[in-house]
Amino acid sequence: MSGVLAWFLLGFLALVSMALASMGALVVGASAASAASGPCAAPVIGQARVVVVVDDGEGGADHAVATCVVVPRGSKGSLVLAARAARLGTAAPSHAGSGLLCTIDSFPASQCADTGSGSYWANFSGTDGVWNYSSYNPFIRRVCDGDVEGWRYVVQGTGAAGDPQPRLDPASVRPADAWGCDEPSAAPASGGGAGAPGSIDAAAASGSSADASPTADGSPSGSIDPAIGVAGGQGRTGSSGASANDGVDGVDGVDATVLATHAAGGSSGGTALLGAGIVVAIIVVLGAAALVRSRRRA
Amino acid sequence: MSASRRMLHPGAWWIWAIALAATALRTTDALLLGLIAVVVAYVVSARRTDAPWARSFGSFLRLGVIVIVIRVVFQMLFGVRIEGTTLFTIPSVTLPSWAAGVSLGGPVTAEALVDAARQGLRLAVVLLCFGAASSLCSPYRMLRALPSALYEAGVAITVALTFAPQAIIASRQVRDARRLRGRADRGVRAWAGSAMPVLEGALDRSVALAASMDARGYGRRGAIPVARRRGISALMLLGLCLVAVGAYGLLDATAPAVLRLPPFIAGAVALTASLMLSGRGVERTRYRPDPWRSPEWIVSLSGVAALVAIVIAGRTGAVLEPPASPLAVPQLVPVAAAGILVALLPAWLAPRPPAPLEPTLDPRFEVAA
Repeated sequence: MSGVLAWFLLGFLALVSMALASMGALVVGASAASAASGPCAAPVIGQARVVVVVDDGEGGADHAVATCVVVPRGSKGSLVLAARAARLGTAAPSHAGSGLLCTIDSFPASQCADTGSGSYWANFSGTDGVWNYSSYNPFIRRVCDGDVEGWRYVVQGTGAAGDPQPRLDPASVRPADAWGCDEPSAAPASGGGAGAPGSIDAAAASGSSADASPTADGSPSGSIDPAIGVAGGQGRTGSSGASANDGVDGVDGVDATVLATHAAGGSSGGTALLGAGIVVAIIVVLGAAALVRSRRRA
Repeated sequence: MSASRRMLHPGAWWIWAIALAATALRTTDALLLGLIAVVVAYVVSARRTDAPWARSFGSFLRLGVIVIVIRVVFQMLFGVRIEGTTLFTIPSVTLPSWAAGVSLGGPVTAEALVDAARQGLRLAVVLLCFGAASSLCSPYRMLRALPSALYEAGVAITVALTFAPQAIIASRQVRDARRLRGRADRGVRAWAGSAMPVLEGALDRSVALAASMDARGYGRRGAIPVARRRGISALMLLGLCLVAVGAYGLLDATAPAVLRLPPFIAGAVALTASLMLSGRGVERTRYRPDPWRSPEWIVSLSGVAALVAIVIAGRTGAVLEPPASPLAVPQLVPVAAAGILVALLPAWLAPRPPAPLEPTLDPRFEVAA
């Protein structure tokens, strides 16, 4: 019995130290994504622009904020919210162990405690121009260029399609030149329009599919550098003019360091660590005392 | 000192343990769960007897470790793919779109492992609490202390309450028998070979106990007229249905308010009334009943204090279920931790159990006599 108790204690210590150790390695994930400015910039081959609308459900309609995020093509949806947090410099979204989204931008403060009463972040897809309540896992879905993703914090909702939607028209934030899921191949079309060399006629390229993406204007807007687009799959946002630097857009001024400060800000420093340390000490002392007592008896 | 040695009322230990288990169920905070585990372990080491069932705590500890391991392995294989720091990747199967959300294999992240371990720890601590209760007090005394209304369900309750301690006793006997025959009593093969006899033996012993108690009048129906007995049964059925409806309404946020608390309360009242009515007909005397004095109050209330403290902490906005991602250093919830430490008091304030009944074998006692 005493041996098992010792293993139990050891495992507990390992658990705590594991949590401590992986604190430093937190800041991965989002750094691979670059971001474009507010209204989405022109599309780039190898990347997908996703408009994320987050509405915390409080105050007026101005609480619904649309952010354009550029992530590598075919990224999982989970990258989108993290990239948004990195772009805005807010705290990374937190999840419960079930994968349930707890907070966006540290809202709500109660984290996942209120989910029992039906309060949750409802997920909507606005790609079709209207908000459709999503019943798929938005984090394992592969994103396409021009996706509009809506998050609305619902207080005591039903968990069904009737729950309140983000208070913002999805059609107004969707980039007009979206490629959808059928983006043109990396090789630039040779017979392009009158644009710069290497430009791609987005309308012509995606015209073959019956996609509902509104590319009727037909203007060649996706001007890319074929060398970057093909070689790295990295690309850069065409209109911003900033160089693609490690995947993080220079214009935003948001990089891994911001995320790091937010991650550190969550644990609010020394006093919390002191309290946790005292409790760990109590646990070790009590466990050792129980161990000694039971061993002396046996 | 020896005068104050006595067995505590089993109900006190059970209230203490159930309150601590309920406390553990309200949190996945590793610090609080670890605190509950060591508090329970220390109290058991300080106040357990030398009876056969008193060794069950070690088995519950082993069971807890197994629970945590299983939880972590299942998380690796089938769990939700929590994003974060990828430790390693196991081969994954791509499922069709209609199975979206179910994953088989894939990257294993530190976040996912830590969260799985925390959830396993919660279940393990709940198991430890019940292990503590069953090793701190005699299951037979607990049976005697049950409200007389529950005697109707005598056999089922006897089996349910005595199965774990009987399994401990049976496993020791099976192990001894294997040793005598020169077979291995450790390792996987020994486990596989002794699992069936242990389960079977424990169930047999529990049923035999229930039968012998039945033969001595335990669970005997009182002299209640048939019509009245049927009325009581109907009342109990109604109460159960109302409680079920109310519980469903309380859990479902969309249920109308009429279906929430009112049926729950009405059902609880009906159940209590039916239990009291059916208990009235049973005449029963107790031989040397366990008293309920101030130590009993201290033990049971110290457990309830932990539960109250964690409920208050939850209401005042403390994060009791930390998010799985991003990982963070466990935050101390001072109110809840203080409440759990109150539950440590029985290690000193509960009376010591009576000394084992073999003093003549001990030379020191012979000298003293």
